[in-house]
Amino acid sequence: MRVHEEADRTIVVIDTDLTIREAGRLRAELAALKLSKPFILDLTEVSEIDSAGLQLIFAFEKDLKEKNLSLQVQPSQSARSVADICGLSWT
Amino acid sequence: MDLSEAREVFIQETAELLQKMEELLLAEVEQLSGDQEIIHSLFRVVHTIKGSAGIFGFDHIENFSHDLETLMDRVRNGHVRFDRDMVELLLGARDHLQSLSHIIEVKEESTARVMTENLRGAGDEILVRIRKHTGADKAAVQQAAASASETTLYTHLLQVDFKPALFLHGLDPLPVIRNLKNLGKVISFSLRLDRIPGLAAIDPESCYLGFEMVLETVANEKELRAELEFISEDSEIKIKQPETEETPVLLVEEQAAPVSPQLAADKHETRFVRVEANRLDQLVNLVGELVINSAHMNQLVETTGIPELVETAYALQKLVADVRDTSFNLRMVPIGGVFSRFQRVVHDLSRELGKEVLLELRGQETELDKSIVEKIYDPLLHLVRNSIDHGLEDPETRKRSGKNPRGTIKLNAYHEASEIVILVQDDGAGLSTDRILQKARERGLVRADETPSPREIQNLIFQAGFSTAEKITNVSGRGVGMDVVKRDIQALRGRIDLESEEGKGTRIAIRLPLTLAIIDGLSVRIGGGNFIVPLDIVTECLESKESLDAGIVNLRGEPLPLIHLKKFFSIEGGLDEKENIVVIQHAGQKSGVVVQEILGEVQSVIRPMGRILGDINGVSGSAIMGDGTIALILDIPSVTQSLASVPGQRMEDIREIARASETGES
Repeated sequence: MRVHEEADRTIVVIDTDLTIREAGRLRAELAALKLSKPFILDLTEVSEIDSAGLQLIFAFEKDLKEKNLSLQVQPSQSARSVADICGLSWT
Repeated sequence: MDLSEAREVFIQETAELLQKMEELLLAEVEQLSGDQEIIHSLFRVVHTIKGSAGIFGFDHIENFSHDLETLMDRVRNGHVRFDRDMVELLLGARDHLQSLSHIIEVKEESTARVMTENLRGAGDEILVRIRKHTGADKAAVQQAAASASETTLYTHLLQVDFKPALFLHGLDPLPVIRNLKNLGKVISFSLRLDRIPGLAAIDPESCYLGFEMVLETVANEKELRAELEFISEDSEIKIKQPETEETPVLLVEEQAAPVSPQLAADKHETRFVRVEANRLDQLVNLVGELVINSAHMNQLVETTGIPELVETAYALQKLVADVRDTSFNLRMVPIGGVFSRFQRVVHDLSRELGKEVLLELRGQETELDKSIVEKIYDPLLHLVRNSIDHGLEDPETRKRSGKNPRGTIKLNAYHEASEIVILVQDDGAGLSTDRILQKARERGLVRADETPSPREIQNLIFQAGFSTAEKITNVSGRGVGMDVVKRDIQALRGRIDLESEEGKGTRIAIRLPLTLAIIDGLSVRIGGGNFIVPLDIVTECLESKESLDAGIVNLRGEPLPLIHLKKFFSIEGGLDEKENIVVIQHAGQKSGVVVQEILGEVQSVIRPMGRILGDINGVSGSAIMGDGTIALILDIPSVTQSLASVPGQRMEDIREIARASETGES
C-alpha cells in the first residue's frame, strides 16, 4: 500500500491483491491512516479482488462517513467487474 | 424503434439463442449427463424464443416453440427421458425453428408464403414426434398456450445474509450473486452493508455481507433454493413472492446500501455496443489514410531539423500507431465462433456416413480480422467434410488396422509472427500417393516418364477437377474441391500446405495474415522501382562486397541462396550499381533478396492490385508511400518458390556450391 498526501486529499494506492489473504494486513494499514481529508482509493493495480476485500472498502468508507469525508474508488478492470456484479457505481 | 429494426433485433437474438441451444445439445449428445443445468438452460432458450416471437407477432414461431417448451418442461420434470433420441429430436426442432426464423428475413411476401408451405410438412412431422412425448393433442395445446405464459415466470424477492463463517469455509458471495443473476432477469439488486463494522472492529476474515434481489425467472422457489443449497449452512436465506410489483422495489429502497446501488442488469447491457460493420470499415479506412498522411508528414518534418517539431511529430506518430492498433483490434474476433459451428457439421456428417468422429477444438480464443473470419468458414467446411468422408475410415476398418474405432479431427488455431495458422488434422487413412499419381497420369497432369516427389504428388490434389474418391457420395467427391479451397485461401493472401502419411492421417495447415489492411515493411529499391518487403520476415540486412552472380553467399558459414529481384521482375538499368542483401526467413528457410538500395522502415496501407495486374507473380499488392509514390509489396512465398523451382538451385546443389565457395575463400 502506498499513500500520497496532497493538499486537499489523500491518495491510497493498493498495490497488492485485495483478497482475504491480504485483508488482515490491509485492515491494519488502513486503520492506521489519519482521516482528515477526502480519500481517493486507487485500485488500478489490483488484479484480484474478492468479497473479503470488498467489505474492507465498505468498512473504510463507513469510518470516513462518520467524519463526513468522502471516498472515491478508482477501480481496475477486475475491480470494475466485481462492482458490476454488486451494482456499485465505480467508474 | 420501428418494426423493421425490431425484426432485426429479433432475428439476431433468435440466431444467438439457437446457436446456444445447438451448443448445449451437442454437449449433451457427447456426455448424456442429464445435467439439470443444461436442461434448464435449454428450457430457458426455448422459453425466451417463444416469448419474443409472441411479442413481435410471429405466430408460427410462437406456436411451434410452445410445443417445444411443453416438451422441455416434461423433460425438466423427469416425465420424459432425456436420451440420445431426444437430443436428436430437439436438434431437429431447433433446425426447424431456424428455418422458420429465416422466413422472417424474406421481405417478398409471396416467397415467404411458399417457404412457409414448404416447411409445413417437416414441421408437422416434428410436432407429431414431440406430441408423442407430451401427449398433447391440438386442442389441449391451444388451451395450455393460454395459461402457460402466465404460470412459467416467477418473481422472487430474495434476501440473503451471509454468516461470518462463510469465508472460513472457502465460500465467496460474489460467484453466488453472479450465478443468481444468470438465472433470469434482475429487477433490482442491492448489497446489504448495514452489518459491516468500522475498520477498528472488523474481523477481516469474517463475512458481514448480505444482499437483496428481485429476480424474474422460470425457476420456482424450490428450484431457487436448490441453486443456493451449497451456501444454505452459512447464510440466512429468505425467498418471498411479492404480491404486487411495487412492494419489492419499495423494500429495496428502504434498505439501500450507502454506496449508491445501480441496476446491475443495466450495466451489463452497456458493456457491449452493437456497431454496424460498415461503420467499422469506414473507421479503418480513415485510420489507414491517417497512417499514410502522418508518415508523409514525418518525412517532411525530419527535413526541417527543428528538434521540438521532430519530437512532437514522433509522439504523434506513436499515437497514430496506437489508434491504428486499437481500431484494427475492433475488427478482431475470436475464431471460436467459426470452430464451434463444426460440432454440428461433424455430428450430422458422421451419422450420415456411419462413422464415429470426435472433434477436438483448440485455440478458439485466437483472434483474426472479421473479414477473414467470414470467408474462412467455407474452405474449412470443405476440408472437414473431406476429412470425414475420405480421410477417416469406418469403425470396422479402423479396428482392423489397430486404431481407435472413433476417428479424431482436430481444428487448431494459433498466432505465429504476424500470421494466424489454422490446422485441420485427422487420424484417418491419409492420402494414397499411388492412387493420386495414377489418377494424375490418367488425366494428363503428370507425364508417364515423370516421377514427382511424394510431397509434390500430394499437393496435386489442389489441382482443378481432382478427386480420388472411389465412390461419389453426397458429401464430396464431385471433383470440385481442393482447388476451390486453395483459391479461397489465396484470395485471403494466405497459403495452404498439406502433409499426409498413408495410414496415419492428414494434416493441412492454412496460414493467413492477421489483417488484410496494413503492412509494416522495409522499403527497398530494385532498379528504378520501389518495393516493400514485409518486415516480420526480415531478419537482417547485409551490404555486399563481392559479386553476387553465383546465386549464393556464405552467411557466417551457412549457405544463403539469393534471389535477384531485378532479374525476377526483368527490371532494366542500374547494371553497375552496388547491391545489398535483405535476409528473409520464410517457412523455416533463410534466403537473401538482392536489392539496389535499402530505404528504411515504412508502414503503409495495402491497396489491392487492379484486376488487370492481379495475377502478377511475386507481387501481392501495392501501397502508397509517405511521399505519394507507389510501391509494390513483394509476395515473398511466390518469390521464394521461384528459388526452389530453378534447376541447379535446389538445396543439395546449394550446399555444394557453399562448400566450394568456402574452400575457395580459405
